[in-house]
Amino acid sequence: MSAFALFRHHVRMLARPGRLFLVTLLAATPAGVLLVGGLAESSPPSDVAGLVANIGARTFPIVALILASSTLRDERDDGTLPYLYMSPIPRPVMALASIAAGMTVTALVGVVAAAAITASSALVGADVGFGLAAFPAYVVAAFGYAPLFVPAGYLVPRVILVGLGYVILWEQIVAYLVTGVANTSIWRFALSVYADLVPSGDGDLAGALGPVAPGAGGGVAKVAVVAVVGWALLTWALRRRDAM
Amino acid sequence: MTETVRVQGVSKWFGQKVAVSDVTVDFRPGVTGLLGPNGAGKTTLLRLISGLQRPSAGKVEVLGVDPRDDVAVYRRVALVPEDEAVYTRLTARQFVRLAADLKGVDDPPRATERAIATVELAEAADRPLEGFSKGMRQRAKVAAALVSEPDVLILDEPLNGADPVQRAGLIGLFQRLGEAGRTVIVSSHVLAEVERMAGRIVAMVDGRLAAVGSVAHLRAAMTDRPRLFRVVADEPRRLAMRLVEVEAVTGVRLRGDVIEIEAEDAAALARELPRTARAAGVALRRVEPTDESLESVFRYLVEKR
Repeated sequence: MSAFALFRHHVRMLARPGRLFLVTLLAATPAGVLLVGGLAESSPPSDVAGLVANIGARTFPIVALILASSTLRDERDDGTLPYLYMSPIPRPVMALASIAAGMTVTALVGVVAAAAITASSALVGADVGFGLAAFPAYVVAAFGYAPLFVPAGYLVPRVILVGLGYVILWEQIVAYLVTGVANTSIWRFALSVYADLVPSGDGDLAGALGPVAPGAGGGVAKVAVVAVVGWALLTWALRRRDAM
Repeated sequence: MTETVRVQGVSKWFGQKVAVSDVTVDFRPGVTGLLGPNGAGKTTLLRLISGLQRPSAGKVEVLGVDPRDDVAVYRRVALVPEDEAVYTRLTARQFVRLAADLKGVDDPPRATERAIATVELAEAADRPLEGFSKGMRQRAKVAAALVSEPDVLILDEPLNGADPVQRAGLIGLFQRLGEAGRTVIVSSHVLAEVERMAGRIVAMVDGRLAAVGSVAHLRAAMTDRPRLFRVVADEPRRLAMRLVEVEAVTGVRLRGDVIEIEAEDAAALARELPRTARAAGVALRRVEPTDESLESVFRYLVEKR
């Protein structure tokens, strides 16, 4: 009961209307670009998958960073953390409730973004399968980023800056250039799910995926590992680190 | 009487800064005032007791356990933090209800209404906390702490921002809780405030324990110390020479046109000084104590230990 109250509280705090509107707008950028580009052309676009993969890589991780890192960071910055910390909720459960809240809100924004891509695909005459495949991909991305960014928000000062470093430098540059590092990119895990489910891939999607093999099962499994590590890290931090 | 909170040799440092230094003290049922000037380490000690911070050295036990190791104890412990921090988007009722849900109390709606009524906030309970005055926010925080009917209630400067009527109400409430057998620890930097509600005082300065005991004990310790006064007069040299002969005066220094007087008995000095000045034909322009702040009082107590 207490743990569910904590989860519900986090969701409520994360879903601030202004912030939610802005991040949803950012997450829906691929849909907007698809719509504008598609309406300007006479024939249906052929590169929908690549567009989702590349623009999504530049927008959704930032959305996840903003939302998930706020889960505990806002409490800490606002000085309200003692109200949560001094509850009789075992720390592993507290960590789980916090990460689950970050996952839920981020995934909901991802679902809206995927719905927008599906609608845009339909409007420009492209296969809606490109949009439908984005639903599980965005949810997997949310479930991968939240266990990383929720603990980071609690532990790391200037987490947005550090998170942007991870998202932009690591995932988009280092992981792109260094083959072995591609398997540390959460976005690529999600993309492997997307690549497995889209009606047809294209060169841009293959380029974005790099050496990571398409496969829904593999992507989900890797994200599950990230989730367990993130949960263990946050449990440790709640137990060992000062709350204020 | 059984100790409910035990602090044993506790220190807390942040890098080079020592916030709490080797403090050993117990808290019992009833109201205990944690007194000290700003920066004395009161808030850090309360955070250590609350389990929000881990001691760098030493041990804290609340109701027989370390709260950081056994979080179940939080059902029976509540904190009212010093900061104005509240969830500004929530109403007072939502805020107190959140505390009830998080604490896992048996009947959250009923507990919420009872806590709100206890701090007399019912009329404003459905207004967002954002629009609350500081005093009203304090009452909302107290209601959130009381919702689980804690055995140990820790309050960090709970009267800050409260108006005189609110203060009287909160002081009465804390006294009733203490009389009911709960351990109430209230920090403040205002001696008179603590004196009104606490039978026992724990005084801190510079992160160290300065005194523990009753208000009378502390008062006695404070009156033992020599007091310093600064006197401005028309002819300071002549007055200084006469003051040397006054029994209440234990030391006289002339610094430019200002006389510094050390006296063990401030009341006797207050009687003797005008008389001496009149006898010397000197007009007094200004007489002021130089070290009457709580900080200097406590520092003296620490030095004496």
